Amino acid sequence: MKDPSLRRILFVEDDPDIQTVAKMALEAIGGFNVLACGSGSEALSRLGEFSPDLVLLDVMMPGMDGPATLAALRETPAGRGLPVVFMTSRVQAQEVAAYREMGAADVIPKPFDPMALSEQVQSVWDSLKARVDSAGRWE
Amino acid sequence: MTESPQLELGDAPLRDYFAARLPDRLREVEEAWENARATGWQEAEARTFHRLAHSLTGAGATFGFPAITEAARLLEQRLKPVAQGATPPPDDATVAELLAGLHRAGRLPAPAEDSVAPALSEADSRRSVLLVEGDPELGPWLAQQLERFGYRVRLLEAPDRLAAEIESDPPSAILLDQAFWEGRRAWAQELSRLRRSPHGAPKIVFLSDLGDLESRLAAVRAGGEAYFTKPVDVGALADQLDLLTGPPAEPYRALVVETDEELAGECAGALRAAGLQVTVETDPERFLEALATSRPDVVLLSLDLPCCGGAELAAVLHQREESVGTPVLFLALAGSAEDRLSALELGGDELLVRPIDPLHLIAAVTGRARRGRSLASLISSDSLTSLPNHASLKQQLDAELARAARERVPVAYALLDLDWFKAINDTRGYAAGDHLLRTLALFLKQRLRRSDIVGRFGGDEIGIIFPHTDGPTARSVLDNLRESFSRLHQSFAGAELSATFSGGVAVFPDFPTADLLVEGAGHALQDAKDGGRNRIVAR
Repeated sequence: MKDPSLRRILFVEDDPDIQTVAKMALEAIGGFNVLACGSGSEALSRLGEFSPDLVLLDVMMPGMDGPATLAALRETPAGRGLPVVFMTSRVQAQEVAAYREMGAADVIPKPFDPMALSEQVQSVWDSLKARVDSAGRWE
Repeated sequence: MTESPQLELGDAPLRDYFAARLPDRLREVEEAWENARATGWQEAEARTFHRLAHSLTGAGATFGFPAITEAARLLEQRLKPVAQGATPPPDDATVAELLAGLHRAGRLPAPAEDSVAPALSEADSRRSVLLVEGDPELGPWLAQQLERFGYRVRLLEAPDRLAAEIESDPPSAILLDQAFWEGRRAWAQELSRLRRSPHGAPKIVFLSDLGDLESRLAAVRAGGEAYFTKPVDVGALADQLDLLTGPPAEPYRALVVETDEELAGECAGALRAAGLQVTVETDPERFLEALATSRPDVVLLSLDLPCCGGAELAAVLHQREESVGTPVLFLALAGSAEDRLSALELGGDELLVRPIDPLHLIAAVTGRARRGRSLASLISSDSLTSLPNHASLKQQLDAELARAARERVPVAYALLDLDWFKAINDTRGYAAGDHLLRTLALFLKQRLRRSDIVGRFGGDEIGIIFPHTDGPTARSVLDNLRESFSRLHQSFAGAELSATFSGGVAVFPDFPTADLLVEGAGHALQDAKDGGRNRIVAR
């Protein structure tokens, strides 16, 4: 089984201001180690060096969008079993169901409250962990 | 690009940071427009333009700039079909107008310091009100008063632009002078169309000079949710608007007990998407622990658990004193009418049979959660103000202090007290005093952050817990609220009523225990009273 605590987060978001505030909030409030990437391809190329515990992935990005990045991640050895959480303003039930279908572990709605983001991510992680504990695997 | 401004955490620093970044971001959007025009709206350029507008809607909401979000959304919606190649590009005048709107939004002062609610745009957008009132004095006055209760009010003097206003920015409620209603069939059609709108129809509240049954019936038939006679009691109106449009103070909590992870995940996903906070427990043996940590408003239990039946767990749940009123919904793989009956007999509120339609699930769970929470809050709240009562406030203060000690962050605690309360009771009657206290409670609940906890301390004293907040911040927030409240004029029993309050603030860890903190705030409050009232003092 994996190490149960969440430490390293790869955050993929093209908006530089959101990137800055989320990275800072996750580091200062959550105490996480965060690598922020501005695009899906940057995330893919830096995945190996950073080896995150979890990926936070913006859905709407230019070039490779969230779902495309997720699909590409799943093709790499390091990204195959990695929990990926989408961040999006599209959180209708059927949209969330579709993201899960693609393999997203969960969805965090946008806009997010920077002060509450760490707690949200931690609770996603905790519920994932509960699933791992009983089944020994992510999905 | 210019050098990035310094970023610190906290609501005000976040807003400052984004305000400093705005000129650059607006310039970026304008450059994207230039590029789109220069290339004859090539696909790549159109997409970039659309993406930048889209980013601004999100960033505006995240950093607490709802006006930016709204203006950017108008632009984004216009550009979306263009970026997808579905419609021809907009003409220059249209884009220029939309960009001008964005600039105007950027020049708006940042949200007033006394509205410290963080970036929760969903909640903000729900609190928009369209006021249709022809009286040149009453209209602006009422708009101003409602603004002080935290509503965003658009005033129309006549209803002719109503449909267009609703279209451009759907309000959560419409306040309508009943005089406008007479003999307008077209309106009835318009309103019934609104009620079928997917965004959720705005609630309609009628204001009227008449209080007779016939007028009230006409309002009900027209779909009015509430009816106020003039002169309007603003406190009661805000209370009603809050009921009709307000989101719950914090998200409803649901606990799902289901061993099948996929089904549990589906359930939880749908409920989370509807804004609920969901805890999934796949091991029924850990039911009690899950109950204690998640404190659910509603519990969903699978009937097909391997170790024990969901019905048995429901019995266990209802044996606990603190959860005797917690609603239970059963999840079953298959179910007949008989199963349904026996589930209800066993203490369930409803049996949901798979496949469960997500919309039905959400409706069933939210409805039960709302009822569960209102029951629980009736038990733990003060009957006059509906605020948490003394015991409940004390309990929450203990919990916040424990958390703050763990996280090494400050907590501010304030005690507020209406000025000259005894004199008001003596001269205007106890009903007037009660009315003021209720109004103050409602005012505070609406104007403070969701994370702040307001409770009735006793008598006319109100206690407020500000988690993660230092003394100067709490003091300045309260000072702004004090100022706004003193300008609030309420109508009571046909006469105007207004009042002020004083407040004392003490901060953990300067005062290291709950008792010392409360005592410190009490002393500060006394200082404020001695200093002449209508002021806030921090220790």
